[in-house]
Amino acid sequence: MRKKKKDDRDPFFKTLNILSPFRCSKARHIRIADILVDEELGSETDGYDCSGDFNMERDPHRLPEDDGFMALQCSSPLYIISRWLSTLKRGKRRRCGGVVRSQKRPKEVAKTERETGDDESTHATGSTNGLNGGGGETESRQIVKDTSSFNLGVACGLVYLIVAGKNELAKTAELRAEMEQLLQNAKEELQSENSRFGSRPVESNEMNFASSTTDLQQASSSSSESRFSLQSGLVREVCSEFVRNGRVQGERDECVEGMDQLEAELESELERLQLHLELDSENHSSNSNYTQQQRLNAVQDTAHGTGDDTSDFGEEIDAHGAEPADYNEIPCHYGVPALELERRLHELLEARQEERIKELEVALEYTKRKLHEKEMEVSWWRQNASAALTSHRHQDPSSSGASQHGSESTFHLFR
Amino acid sequence: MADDKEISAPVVDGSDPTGHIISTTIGGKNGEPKQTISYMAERVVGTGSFGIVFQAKCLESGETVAIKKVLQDRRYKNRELQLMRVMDHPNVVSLKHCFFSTTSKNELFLNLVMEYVPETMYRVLKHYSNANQRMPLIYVKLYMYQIFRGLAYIHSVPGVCHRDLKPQNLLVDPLTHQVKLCDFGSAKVLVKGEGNISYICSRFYRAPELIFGATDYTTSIDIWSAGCVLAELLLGQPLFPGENAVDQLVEIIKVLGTPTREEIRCMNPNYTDFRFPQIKAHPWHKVFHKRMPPEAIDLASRLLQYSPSLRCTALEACAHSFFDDLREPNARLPNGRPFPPLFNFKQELSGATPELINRLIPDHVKRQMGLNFSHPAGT
Repeated sequence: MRKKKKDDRDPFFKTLNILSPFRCSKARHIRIADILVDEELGSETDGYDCSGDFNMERDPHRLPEDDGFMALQCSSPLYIISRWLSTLKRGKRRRCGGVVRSQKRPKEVAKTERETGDDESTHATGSTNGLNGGGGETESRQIVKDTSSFNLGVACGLVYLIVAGKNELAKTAELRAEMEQLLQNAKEELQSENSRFGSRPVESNEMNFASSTTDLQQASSSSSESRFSLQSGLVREVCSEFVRNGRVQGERDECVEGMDQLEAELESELERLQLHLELDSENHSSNSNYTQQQRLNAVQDTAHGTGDDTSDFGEEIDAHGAEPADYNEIPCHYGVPALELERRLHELLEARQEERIKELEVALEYTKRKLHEKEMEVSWWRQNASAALTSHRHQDPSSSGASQHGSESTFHLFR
Repeated sequence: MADDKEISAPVVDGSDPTGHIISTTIGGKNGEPKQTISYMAERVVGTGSFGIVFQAKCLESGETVAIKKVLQDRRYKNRELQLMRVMDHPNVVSLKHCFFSTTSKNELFLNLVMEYVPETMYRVLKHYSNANQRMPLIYVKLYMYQIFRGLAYIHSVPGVCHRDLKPQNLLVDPLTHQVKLCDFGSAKVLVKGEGNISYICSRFYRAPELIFGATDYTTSIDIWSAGCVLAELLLGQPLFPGENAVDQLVEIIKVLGTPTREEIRCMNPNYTDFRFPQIKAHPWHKVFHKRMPPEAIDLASRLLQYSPSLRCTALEACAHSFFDDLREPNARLPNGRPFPPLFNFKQELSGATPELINRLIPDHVKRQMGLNFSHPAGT
């Protein structure tokens, strides 16, 4: 169980080190662990690095201060144990450098525990072994204290275990804080994504939509509402998945994809509504639904009104209470949308101009044909005239007087 | 009319009234004997969101009536009832009686018992268009004149704006050719300075200021509607058959052209900032067929004006030369019968100029009236 937990946390150890402010503030609570680790560090000269830069900031000079602070804070049993521990350690420190080797053992255990995730039992035996080893060297000096020192060793081991547990807890707390931070980031990310798409944050989406559809048909608005709550549920799912995996970069893409999908759904929903609205306004008889709704609204409004018959609320009731079946309702109180009217008029203008162009084209075609006909006529007359002239000349070239007369007459005719 | 009748509890009621007998008691005031009136519901003649209208027969008198049954909000007076109680004109449908009824679901219904007129202008128009014919001009004149007379009355005497004038709400008696305005479910006494809802009136007959969302409109919206009805009677089909609000306005602009800035300001000043593309007006004489008399075109153009204040009043419309034929001394229906009463004006002339009154009442009627006036004086 525990091993698995540690494995899970492993990736977060790195991120933990990145977020230094959190680490510092959290580290304050881990008094005993600090003492242990710090003492180890203080006694070691080979610069044993326990968990990254965790202890690097602490210089040995600050140790007594921390100790004192701890003494004030700790509860009595722990305090006593730590006192024993410190006297033991002081005694050990007084001894030769060989002790260092034996002292190093629990640290090594701790290290292996952190790195490989050894289980509890190994840890415990390791620490006791280490202490026992320490005890073994003092054997020659004080045999009487053997049992008590063994007990102390066991206590030490226990204390170590407790401390290790506390360390773990503290780290878990840090992790939790970090998770929260990540979650917050993810939320912000999601909201910024949302706003980038031009829509409001997901939480308020439902509300906005509902308010915008109150002007439309009640049925469609209610159906869209349920659809929307479903969609926001989907958003939440996407979000939580994103946080659970904790891979910010990769998941963001996925999240964006989710938003795209949502956006597409929203668009189709709006289109569907618009269609519904248009259908509704076109349908002469289907507006009784709206009227009913309007009436309901009016009744609700007047419920806390003055009850005056001539008030406009009363008017709504009366007006709608007596509407014939084919009464055409305009759901907006503020007249037609001017831009829509402008667009329609532009369309009309265009259509009319096109019509005019066609008319002019037809007229032009007609005129051209007329012109062509006239030209044909002219050329026919010319041909006729020249033919007549030549025929006159050919027919009677001898009788010049007659021919002259004839040509003259044709000439006159042509004029 | 209904004022002297006491509202009483009903006896029978149901969702489908056909075949039911509804009994109610009237009178009992001022020592009058109580009287029971029973109506036999015969057929439903109209349904809508307002409720139903059914034809019924009074068992005591044998008279046929139309009963409009509407759901009554207990907190309010019914405006339609309030208005109909004060109206009394030959061209406005008359209220005979009214009573409340309840159902087993504890719903309160108001029953308006009105005179029964068998046809509507809508059905008459349909009859002609089905036969691929136009309505004879004399009927157009007769019907439109009576519509304007009815409007002149409701606009001036109780100060009511009908707000839903359309062929469906114009009753026509096929025998006498008398026309009556009906359905005052949307009607309201318009008070100057008080806003009104703009989503009233059926689309084809909506005045442009209503489409522009104006709330400070006047009774001239009824004049626009009447102009649309006139054009429909002349054309055989609606003049502005818009598919939606914007389309309705486009249809109007197709005929009248783009309204000028000033005209837009008159309709709704909120739209004056918009620059709409300039569409040329379609000449009125091209809207109608070639043989259309110029008076008809003139009247239509005076009614269908963008600026509400430029539309003529109902009384001015009555005095229009288009209706001169009706004022001829020997004018009669095509079947030789006399016209329904057309000149028995009362209070509606109170605000009119002498010149207008002079034009409204033809000489032969004046002489008759003078005779009538002198007659009681002489005896």
